[in-house]
Amino acid sequence: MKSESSKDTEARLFNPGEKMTVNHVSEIRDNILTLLSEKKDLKVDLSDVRECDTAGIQILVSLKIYGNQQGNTISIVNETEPVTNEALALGFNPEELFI
Amino acid sequence: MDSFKQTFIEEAYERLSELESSLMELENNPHDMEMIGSVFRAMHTIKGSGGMFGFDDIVSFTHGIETVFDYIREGKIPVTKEIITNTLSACDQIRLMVEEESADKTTVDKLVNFFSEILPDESGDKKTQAPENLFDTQQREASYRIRFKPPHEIFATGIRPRLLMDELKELGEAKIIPQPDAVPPIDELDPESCYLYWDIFLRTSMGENAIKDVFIFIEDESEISITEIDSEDTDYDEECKKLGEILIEKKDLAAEDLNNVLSKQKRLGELLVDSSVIDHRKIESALEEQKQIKQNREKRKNQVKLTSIRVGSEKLDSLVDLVGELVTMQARLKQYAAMDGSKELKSISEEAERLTADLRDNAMSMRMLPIGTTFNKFKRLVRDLSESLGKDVELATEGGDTELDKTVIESLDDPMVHIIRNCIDHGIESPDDREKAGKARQGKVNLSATHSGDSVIIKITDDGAGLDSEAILAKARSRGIIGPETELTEKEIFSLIFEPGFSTAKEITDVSGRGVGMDVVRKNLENLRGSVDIESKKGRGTCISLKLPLTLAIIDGLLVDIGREYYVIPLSTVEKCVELTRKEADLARERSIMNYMGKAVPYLNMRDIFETPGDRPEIEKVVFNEVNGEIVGLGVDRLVGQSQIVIKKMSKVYEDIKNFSGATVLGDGTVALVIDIPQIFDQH
Repeated sequence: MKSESSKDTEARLFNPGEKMTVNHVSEIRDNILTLLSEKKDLKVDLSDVRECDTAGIQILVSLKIYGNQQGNTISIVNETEPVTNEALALGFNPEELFI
Repeated sequence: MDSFKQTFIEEAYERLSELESSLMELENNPHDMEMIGSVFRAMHTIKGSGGMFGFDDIVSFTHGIETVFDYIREGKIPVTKEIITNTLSACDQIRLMVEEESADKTTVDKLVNFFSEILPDESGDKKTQAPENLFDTQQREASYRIRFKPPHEIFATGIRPRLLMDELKELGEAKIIPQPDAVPPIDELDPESCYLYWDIFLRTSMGENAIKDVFIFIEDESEISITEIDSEDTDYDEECKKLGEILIEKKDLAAEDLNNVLSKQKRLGELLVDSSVIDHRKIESALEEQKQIKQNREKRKNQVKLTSIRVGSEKLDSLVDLVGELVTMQARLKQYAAMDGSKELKSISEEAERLTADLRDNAMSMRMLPIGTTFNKFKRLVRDLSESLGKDVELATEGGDTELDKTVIESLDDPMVHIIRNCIDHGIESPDDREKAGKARQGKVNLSATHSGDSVIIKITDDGAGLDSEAILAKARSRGIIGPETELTEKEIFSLIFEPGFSTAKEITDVSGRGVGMDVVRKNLENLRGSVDIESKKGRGTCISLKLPLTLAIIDGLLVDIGREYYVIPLSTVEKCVELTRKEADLARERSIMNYMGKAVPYLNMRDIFETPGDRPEIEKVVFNEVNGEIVGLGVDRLVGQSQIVIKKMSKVYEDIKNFSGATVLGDGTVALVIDIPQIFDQH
């Protein structure tokens, strides 16, 4: 799991690592909240995710809701197949979730 | 009986025949996915329609077998001979259930256990399903709205919502709509709790219990509501008309104007979302519900539109009878118009003639059925028979779409069963004998149907041992059927097998060999105004050809005059007509034979047969007919002409008279008898 500044947008960049499952979501949430306290906007890069479950998708949904409520720009990018598959199986439209 | 139930029964028989046919195809090509799908669909249809008419036993019984074929479809279990045999046996039991006779309980229990034992679990191992689970279902296709709110703790239980969704998808066509409105923003989120819930729209025929089963391990902790939103029972026309539709219907508004106005108007869903009173997913969920109901109703509506109407065969017979009367009446009208000389009446008569001809063709075409259905029935016969005789026989069919009158097709069953039984029992050798003779171990029986003028030729060919002409001749002599010195051609020897009581089988089996088959075959075919021919090569096989008229009700006939009485000879048998002088005719009568294209053929004068009084004509006409592959000559006074003949059965008073197969009323109202040529030559 790593975070850094994205130079072009000035948003914080967050990469949750390989696993976005129930055993890792608490840590992911804490890291995201830390980044959001530093910078309003956040870019989540999912390119390393190899395992994702419902809890993983839910945290992304929750992040989007937070962004909408607070007026933050939250973008979720580079989703991998495991993430897309889980989202689709749960009925989510990936185009809506990942921007 | 309730007419709908009768329709179900008729359809069930058809489906069962198709099913048997598909099963046997599948036995030969166990990887044929199309055939696997066909078996599954046939089972599914029988189950569905059985349920509609309260045949609960059929529903539960077929459900289990359908499930097995669903597993086969998914490649989880292979097609085996055992499965085919047991499914065929299940077809027999379903047939008994359709007939509302008691199915054989022991057999049904055996089958239920067999099918319950072959289903694999997820690891692919065989497992025994409790028969009551496998053979228990609902049968109607219905749409359900499922609201599934899992407990917050679901992640900790190890149950993954995704797997539940996947299971639901396996039950039918599912649309899953997640509802995230209860998910808190990330700063308030307990990420190990589940806040998501789902609306699922599922179209399935597996029933509500199957849906409940998906949630079985979590139902107590979850909020689950399953609501049937539409089913096959709902009238598809139930929907209320919209305001715009009423206005257009009343011509108060043009459709174009309505469309213009509507195109400027935002849809309700858009308005609601724009006004932020509702989340767009809620709208999506409601729209999906609406869409699914619409699709269901449209689907059912189309099915109704596409389904042909079933009409009782007695109604068709009655229609053909009435058309027959009309044809006769029209002939009278035509004759009257010709005599009257009125141009107007002639024109009306011609118009009526055209309409009558169209009506006749239409009515007759309604009675025509493809012979393929009959062919398919024999696949089962061949399979069962070859198994019981320890032979390996493949049945191939050609020309199954050839159409014949329904009465002809129905009357063909018995003769063909006799012939096919004989082919397999006496014709096809055992696999070992075939191998010794340098043939493939598997024998072949081929059924083919082709049109030939106004007749259909059905050929039953086998590649068995062929007929042994010496054995036939010896048997005929020992039975006194022919004299010890009589010389016969090979064709004449073969035709001896159609003599009553003739059989050369060394052993009498329960299949054939009692000599009570082939004579019945010939009799039945003659009753249908057909004929039978036989060709055979020793060691190579036999081909039996059945020639049948396309229809029995209306035929083309040759009208002849014998002593100022009219008679009809079916035109399909007529080969040629010639003239004889009185001297030549007397010579032919004396010898009972005459020359036909350089060959001596039997001759009979009809005046002699009918004992007609009066003077014979100076010039006699001879009509040569083909009867059972042989040419025979009939002497008549005069040829009147060709005519469409509506054949009527003779009344019971005349049923003992063997020389005629029916009667017809001519245009002038006189009655003409239809000559039964095979009978006449049999008797004289």
